[in-house]
Amino acid sequence: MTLEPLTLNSPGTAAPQVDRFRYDNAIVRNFAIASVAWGLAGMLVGLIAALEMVMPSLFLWDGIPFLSFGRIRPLHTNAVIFAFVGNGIFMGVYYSLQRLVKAPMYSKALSNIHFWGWQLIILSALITLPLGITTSKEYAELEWPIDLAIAVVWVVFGLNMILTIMNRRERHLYVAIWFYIATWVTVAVLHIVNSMALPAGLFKSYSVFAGVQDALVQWWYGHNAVAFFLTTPYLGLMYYFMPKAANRPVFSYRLSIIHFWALIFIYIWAGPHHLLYSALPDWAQSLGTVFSVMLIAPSWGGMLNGLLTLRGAWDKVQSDHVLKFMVVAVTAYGMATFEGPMLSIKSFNAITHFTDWTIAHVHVGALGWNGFLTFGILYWLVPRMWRTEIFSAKLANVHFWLGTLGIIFYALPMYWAGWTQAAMWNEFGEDGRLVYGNFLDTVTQLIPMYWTRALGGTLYLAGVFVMVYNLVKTAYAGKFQAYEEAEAPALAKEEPAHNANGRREYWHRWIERRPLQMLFWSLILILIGGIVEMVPTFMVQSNIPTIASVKPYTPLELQGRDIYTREGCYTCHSQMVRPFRSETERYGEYSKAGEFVYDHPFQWGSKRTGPDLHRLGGKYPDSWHYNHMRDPRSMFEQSLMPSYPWLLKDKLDISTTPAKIRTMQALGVPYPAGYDELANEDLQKQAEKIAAGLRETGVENAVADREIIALIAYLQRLGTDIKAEPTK
Amino acid sequence: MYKDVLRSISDVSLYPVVAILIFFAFFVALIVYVLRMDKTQVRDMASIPVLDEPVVTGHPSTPNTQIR
Repeated sequence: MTLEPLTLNSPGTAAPQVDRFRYDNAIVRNFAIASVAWGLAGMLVGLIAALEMVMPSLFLWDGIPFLSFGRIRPLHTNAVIFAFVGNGIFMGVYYSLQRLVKAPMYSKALSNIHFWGWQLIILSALITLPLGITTSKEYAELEWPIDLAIAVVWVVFGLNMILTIMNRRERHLYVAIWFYIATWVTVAVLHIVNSMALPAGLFKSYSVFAGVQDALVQWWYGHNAVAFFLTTPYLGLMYYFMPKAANRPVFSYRLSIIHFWALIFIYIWAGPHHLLYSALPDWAQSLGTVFSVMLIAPSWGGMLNGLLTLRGAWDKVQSDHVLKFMVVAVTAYGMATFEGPMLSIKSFNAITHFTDWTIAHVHVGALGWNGFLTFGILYWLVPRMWRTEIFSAKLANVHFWLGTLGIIFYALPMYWAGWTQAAMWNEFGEDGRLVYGNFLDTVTQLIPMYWTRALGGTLYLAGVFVMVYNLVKTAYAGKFQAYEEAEAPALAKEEPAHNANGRREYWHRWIERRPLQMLFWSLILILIGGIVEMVPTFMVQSNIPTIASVKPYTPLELQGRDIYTREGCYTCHSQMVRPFRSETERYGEYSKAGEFVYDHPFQWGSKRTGPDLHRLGGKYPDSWHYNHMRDPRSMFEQSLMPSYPWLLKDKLDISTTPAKIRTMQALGVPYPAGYDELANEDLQKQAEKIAAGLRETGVENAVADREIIALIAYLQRLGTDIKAEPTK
Repeated sequence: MYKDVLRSISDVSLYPVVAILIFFAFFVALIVYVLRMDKTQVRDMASIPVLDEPVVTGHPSTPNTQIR
């Protein structure tokens, strides 16, 4: 291989010495393989989850705890976000960073610790989530020991990245690197704050936040996980790989600077749009809406910058499969970021929230933006690192069409389902009553859409298999180059105070050259939004209209609540009745902030595949719950709910009760001192009472020490406190 | 109830005004900066990714190092 002389971009350096070094491609290859392998697994789990919704009683998964929808849905989301996209980020960062700074990664050991550490974390998620070990905070379900491991590995990644940047031979930090730095620092902050929890055992912890605050922190995290894990790093990759693939510089470098600062500043404020019409204070909801609507400007600025990079090269899009994938990816980004602000407008959100519309929205982002950009990069990267041509451009085109059709077949029926749900939930008849008072009527209507969605997912997944075959064949035809020789002039120590034209330098150019300052100012910028929204909400906590009749859960209810979170009930059921007539009519009194003060963590949910449960308590007899949990289809033939026969068989582990009570006390839940040792006594009394009641009402084999009893206790408590007379 | 909390801060009505001024000042400064940036520098910076690799003969998407 011949080396072309590399040009130096920094003016004012005199007779620099030329360094020779080697780029590490092996780490890039490893992350690429991991991204694809975990991607296949994550998408397959998604497909299984989709099929469970249309065939809930299929023997393959019905009644098997590890395959239950509530447990594998978090596995699907975590696998796609952190395993598929996560490894995709690292693949792109490790490839582009070395070349953008003209230096190899600082430490091969750190690279490898990062790689294997991340894979171990994914593996532990793969084991713990199906076991029901979960915090129940969406996209942050992993329990505290894994959270600690994530923090450590993330620091390793950041250290390796920053030290590599410090060792650079290119003075200017290209815009992609800014996105990498902002990603790193923001994800670190989000992860630490949202994961704050007190352990009540090795595999169990309770969020330090409760109710409204927990919801705000969670969706500040949840929204910004989308922003800073699924978006900003991928924008960095777009700014690197799109110019590469199109063989021309980005459309406007000036626009990219504005894009960067505007995006990271505005994004961090938008989280509360996930909680519109909830018990979150109004001002926080309004802030979320305003910033979400503003987000369209930087988002579309970035999208246009990506698309216009192809100026004068649109003919290439017809023939170059890499560009095809990238164009659809950036277009999907544009669609999702138009839709996001629209969904944040309260009147529109009132319709779409809790419906399948949200599922369509996130999949346009995940399948289109993240998926297609990853595929485009892989098609560009693999032939390059294996020093060969793509095995079959035709097959890549087949993948492109399978994937594109997959996205359409996924998203369109889900949009349709979302509208259908909203229309049916809100329809009143002439008699002033809900036309579809039975929630199930609104569910059965969606089955054709759910089938089409599963078809879309199958097409998309089939496309990925085609890609794997194509890339493996490509790799076999070529020879992998683990280390790529390169050379560049060393960076001169002194920096010119003036640029080549003698003009004085500006502050931004100064910051562009200093990774640590960039990191610091990015951090400040993202902290502003988080602090402004959260601190007042936390101060307000003491002013949350305390409802005197709201009392801590009994030990049995607490154990039942933990079963509720373990089984992932929140993935299909909300506990947040919004103040709409259609909801108060259907569910009862709307939810108040003061009702959730002992909810560590909150269980408001984000999706109603089944009905809201906040006012479930006292609605049905215990025996109804018992039979319904055993086999929902014995009560409603068309129910989509998984059955939970193991709850009737498995004994409740009450050895954990004292530790759980103590943890709750540490979090401020007012159990009397020393109650941890007495709790099990109360627990057993309450369980005996429920079991006896069940036996009286025809459930002859009801036993007090089973998990189902605790769950029934919790379900019967839900939303009942405000109905009780306040005790003085 | 949150209104009570906000009301208890003295001169709280100034806060949104200050906030929007800072916000606008930041973006105005940013726009002024990018508009005043040196053309050749912008071109240099934008070309970093297309110039960072040696030529691989025969590869369709190999960047042309003569682009400058």
